[in-house]
Amino acid sequence: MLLHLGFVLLLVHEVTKNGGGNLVPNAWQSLVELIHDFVLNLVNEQIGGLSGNVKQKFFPCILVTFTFLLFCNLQGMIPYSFTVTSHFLITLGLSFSIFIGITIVGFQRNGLHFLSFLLPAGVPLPLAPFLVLLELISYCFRALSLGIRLFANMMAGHSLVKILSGFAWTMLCMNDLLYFIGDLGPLFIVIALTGLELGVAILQAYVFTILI
Amino acid sequence: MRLSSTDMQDRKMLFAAIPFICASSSKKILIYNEEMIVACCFIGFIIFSRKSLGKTFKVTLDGRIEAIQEELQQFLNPNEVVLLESNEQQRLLRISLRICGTVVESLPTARCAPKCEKTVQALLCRNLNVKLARLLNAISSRRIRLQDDIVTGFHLSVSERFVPGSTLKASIVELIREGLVVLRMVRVGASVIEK
Repeated sequence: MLLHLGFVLLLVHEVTKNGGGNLVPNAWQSLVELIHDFVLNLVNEQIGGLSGNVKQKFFPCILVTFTFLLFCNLQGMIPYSFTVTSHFLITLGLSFSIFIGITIVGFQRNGLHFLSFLLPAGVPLPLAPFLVLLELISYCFRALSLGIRLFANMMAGHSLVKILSGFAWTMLCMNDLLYFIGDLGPLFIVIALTGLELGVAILQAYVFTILI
Repeated sequence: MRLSSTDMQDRKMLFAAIPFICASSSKKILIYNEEMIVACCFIGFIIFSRKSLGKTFKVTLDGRIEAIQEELQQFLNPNEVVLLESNEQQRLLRISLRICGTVVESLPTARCAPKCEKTVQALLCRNLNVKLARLLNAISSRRIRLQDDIVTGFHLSVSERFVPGSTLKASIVELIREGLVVLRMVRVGASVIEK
């Protein structure tokens, strides 16, 4: 995790030196600006009912969460490295801490009116008690589901790649031409899975951020 | 056969990788297990995606950089752009006013009710007012941006000169005077355009 933090900080420093980067960006600065614009659009679209200034207060938290998960997931794709987010403790710790933080901030800003989201608009009164209970369970379970989703995706993907590569290695060590030719199948599957895992790594960072 | 620079780079990397692999294997840094297959597949995927998607990505980034450069060029000549656009807008407004007058005059008052004539007049005047408001807003936003750019450039040039122990106090005072003159010229120019 320290290595990943070092990479991210180095990239951001390279891009923002000389008083905030160049007016005409180079490729790295463009990449950082694209990530920044992407998260900015995410915040503006998903957070509704508030003025622009209030929305921007949540932007740093969302940007840091997204960038952290993105770079953690991508770092795990490097061979011989360690995927931080494929461990239950990390993902659950992150999701619970964000959940508790959001709840505290919600109560601070809105007081007891924060609980009004447990009863959506337009619900008939007889259904209200059941719906409130359901919404409460759903809200509390969100912390768990966020962490489990990220952990499961990362763990499953990497496990599959390791199993298939172990299969391919065993076939390669057989010292037989037939097994060597047959080894090409698992090799192509591992290449395809690597691409899939890269896509899943980026997507899971986005899904976690959007579901916060 | 001539080799492109990327092919030469790839060959150099390959020639560097072979002794690296041999040295790492002998020192047991690189261990031969299934992770080696994952590493080879990962490198293969990166090479394949670079060959297939590398140009697309480069074109996208270059397009973005060019768009920013063009916008910057426009900002460097804001006065000319504002003047041309505002002249064009004023000409169109004058033509619209003339047409408005002609249309109102040519309305067959014998056939149309008085209300119809008033409605047409009100509609045309409202459209003209909206166009005028838009033109004024565009001019004022350009002026504000130009002022911001000048102040930023001025701030940067002054901060460069403010080196501790500098004996260029006289030139600093001159610089501040020049900056104030430029800002005054911008304000006068903008107010002339508004008229």
